[in-house]
Amino acid sequence: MTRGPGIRTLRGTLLFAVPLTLVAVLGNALASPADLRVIVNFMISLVLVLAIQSFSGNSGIVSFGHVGFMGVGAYVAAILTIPPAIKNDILPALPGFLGDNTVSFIPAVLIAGAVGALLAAVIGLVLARMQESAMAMATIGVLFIFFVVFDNWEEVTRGATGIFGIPQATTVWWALGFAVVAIAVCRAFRESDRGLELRSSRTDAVAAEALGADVVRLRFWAWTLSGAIMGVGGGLWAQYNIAFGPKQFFFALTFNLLAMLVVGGLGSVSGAVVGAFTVTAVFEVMRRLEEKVEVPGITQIVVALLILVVLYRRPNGLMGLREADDVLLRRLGRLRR
Amino acid sequence: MIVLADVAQEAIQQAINALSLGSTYALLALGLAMVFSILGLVNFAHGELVTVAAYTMYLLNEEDVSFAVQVPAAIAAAAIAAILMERIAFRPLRGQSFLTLLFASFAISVIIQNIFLAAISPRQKGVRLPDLFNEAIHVGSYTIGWLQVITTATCLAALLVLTVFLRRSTQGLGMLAAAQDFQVARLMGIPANRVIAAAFAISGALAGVAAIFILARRGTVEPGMGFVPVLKAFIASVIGGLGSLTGAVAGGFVLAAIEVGLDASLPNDVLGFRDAFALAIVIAILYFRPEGLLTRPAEAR
Amino acid sequence: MADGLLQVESLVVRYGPIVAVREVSLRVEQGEIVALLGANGAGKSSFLNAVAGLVPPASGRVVFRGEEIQRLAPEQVVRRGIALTPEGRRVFPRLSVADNLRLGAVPQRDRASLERARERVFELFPVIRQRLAQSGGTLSGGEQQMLAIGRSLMAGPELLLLDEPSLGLAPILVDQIFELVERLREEGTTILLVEQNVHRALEVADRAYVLVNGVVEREGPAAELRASAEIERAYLGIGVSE
Repeated sequence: MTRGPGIRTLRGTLLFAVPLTLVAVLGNALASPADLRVIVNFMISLVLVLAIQSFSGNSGIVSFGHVGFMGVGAYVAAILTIPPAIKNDILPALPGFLGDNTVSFIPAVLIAGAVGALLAAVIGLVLARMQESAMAMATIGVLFIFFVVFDNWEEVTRGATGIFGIPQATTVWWALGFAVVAIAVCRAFRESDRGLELRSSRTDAVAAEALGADVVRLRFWAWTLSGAIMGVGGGLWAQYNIAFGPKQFFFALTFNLLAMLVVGGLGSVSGAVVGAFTVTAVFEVMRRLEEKVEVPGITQIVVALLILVVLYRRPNGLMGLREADDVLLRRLGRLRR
Repeated sequence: MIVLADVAQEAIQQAINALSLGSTYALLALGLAMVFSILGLVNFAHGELVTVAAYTMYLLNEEDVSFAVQVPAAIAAAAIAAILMERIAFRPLRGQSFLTLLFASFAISVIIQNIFLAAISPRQKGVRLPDLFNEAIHVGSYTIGWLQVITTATCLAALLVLTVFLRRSTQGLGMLAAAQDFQVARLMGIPANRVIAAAFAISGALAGVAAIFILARRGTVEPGMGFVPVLKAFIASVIGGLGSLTGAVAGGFVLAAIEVGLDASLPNDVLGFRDAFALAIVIAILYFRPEGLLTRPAEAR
Repeated sequence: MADGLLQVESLVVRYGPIVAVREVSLRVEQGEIVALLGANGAGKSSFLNAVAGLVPPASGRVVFRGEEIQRLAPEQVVRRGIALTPEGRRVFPRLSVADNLRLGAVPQRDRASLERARERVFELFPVIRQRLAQSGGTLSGGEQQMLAIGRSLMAGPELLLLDEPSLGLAPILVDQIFELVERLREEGTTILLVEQNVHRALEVADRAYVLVNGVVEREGPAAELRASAEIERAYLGIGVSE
């Protein structure tokens, strides 16, 4: 299995691109609008989970702060795309050039990613130097800072009231496309030399540094990359869900995204994908059940119990540390022999 | 002259604010640091111990049980909840990685929050507290809230009792030793399970004490009420150097001083951003002292 | 064969997929000094840690005074009469010397034997008595080693496991440590000694075992091993079998 990183990335991307495309085609043709919504949101959450995976999965440091970058992406995309008529009404204090102009879907998403990357870089400069556990806790502070800013910066975010009027531009096809690109980017990063060095720091930071890896720098770049993807995800999300408030970028979503990562397995891109699928499935089933039995909170409890069961039984998640395509090929190879 | 007196009075008032706020942070951070130093677990569900204690008071309040009973009951409930948490959820994971333990505590936090949400209500519920908490002492030109005085006095007393226990009793000394080197403490014959259970019980009891004052300040309970306090405690313990007990206490007071200082100095229109500024300052401090403010580099390990 | 004070049979220690100790058998008689030698990573420390209960062995038996102890936790092992002074001293840096000693005495049942142990430690290490109020982390390396050994003696152990006691110490202190080891034995403490200082260890020891890659490569009376070239090779890390 000593293929180059390019082949492995392609292989790993295709393995998931095919079923995802199938889901999108079938969903588009057959599903009810409500079910199609679930599918599109699942694809968007794939982008978000993969963003966190690209940092946490390779560095071994959990981040509670990433949803903040998603929020940044969402607000950026919103401000760039809301028609001036609405925008001047709900955000009168915006500077003129932002108030009177809009950009189309793709530029909005890309700018959202760029702003996400920029803010991640600024924060990363500080955080990447910290010890693992301190950094993990500092990311909680990051999430909280973002929340406070979203919640209070009336001129730009409209504060706790929230923002609306975003044109719905994210289609199932765009969501699929971005999800597949995110898989490819995260896999390519994982397979790259930098990704490998960062992963080796995961088990032993001291040993990795002895081998010449500058762990702080690696963490910084991974953090910034993941901030960019998170921003893109936020831009997609905003242009699908068209109205939102600051509370949506806080602990509930952080928990759900981390749940996907833990259940599938933090250590691999495949884990992120499988986890996103599993948790979305459990979530949807439970949500329907919750409406019937009328016990609020039962969905969250079940998802949390799912995390605990996975941690007890398979601390590295359903997929473990290896990529699904590597495992499959190895099994096939063994069969042939 | 009068201006100067005003400034002095203002400063003293703010110092008292910082002291009472800091002492609640210190109790929470200390409990967190105690568990972390012994188990390597950052207990996300620490905030839910505050919630358990606060809801205990709420439920007893609904039954018209007197405040004098509510207080010990709340502290006991938080301590018991902490012990159960360890026994049921964390013990099977002992020795697992930092990340696994952190995720587990995150999940437990969500479970407890949603149990309150499902069993009681997702909404805020008011709790009637003794009138004393709303009254103030007037000494000359100074006005000091009883709540602040009681908070500071109680929290400092709790810290004192705990310090004496840790320094003087063999059991406490064993806990300090376990916090510094768990393996060697076991070689000395200090039983691992008992130390861990005690650490959780103490962290729960401290959270229970803090919860009384957190509740007194906000006047209501809600399922997610533990989050902000535990966030502050996280930050305080990181300031003090993760795992250092004295550091956690000091970190609590440092954080409170920063917050109160910002409250006093920020213009009104950006006051809403206070927590963001405070956290940014803390993170900036950590940029220069990644090991924490109070840990000397040589002692880091 | 009469059972020794400590009888270890086919002990296996593994950390995940890595096997640190493979089927090591070893015997320590009452009143002996036994040296356990080997290169870095040969499994010496893992062996001691397994005997002391810090690492549960994957298989094998550890019998102390006729009782199987391989399933016991460290806090139970020390109560049976085995104390381990770990590698790197590991005194509690932020506790006073007095508190360090007090913790060592946790397994002591009665006051009288506690007092006796305390007096003995002060007699062996007069310098400790002068440092009682200082915190452990402020002691010099040599003093920390004495404190670490003193702390182990506070439990009144019948068998003392010493892990690299002379590592990183100045030559004059190394001499003191080895004198101490002999003196402890004279006073009735049995000792299992892990050392990188082969020559000194073989001078004080009665018997020795040589570990290579987790396996006992050689065992015998210390005097015999002292004359052997194999020891040198084991220390250079060249496996005899290779």
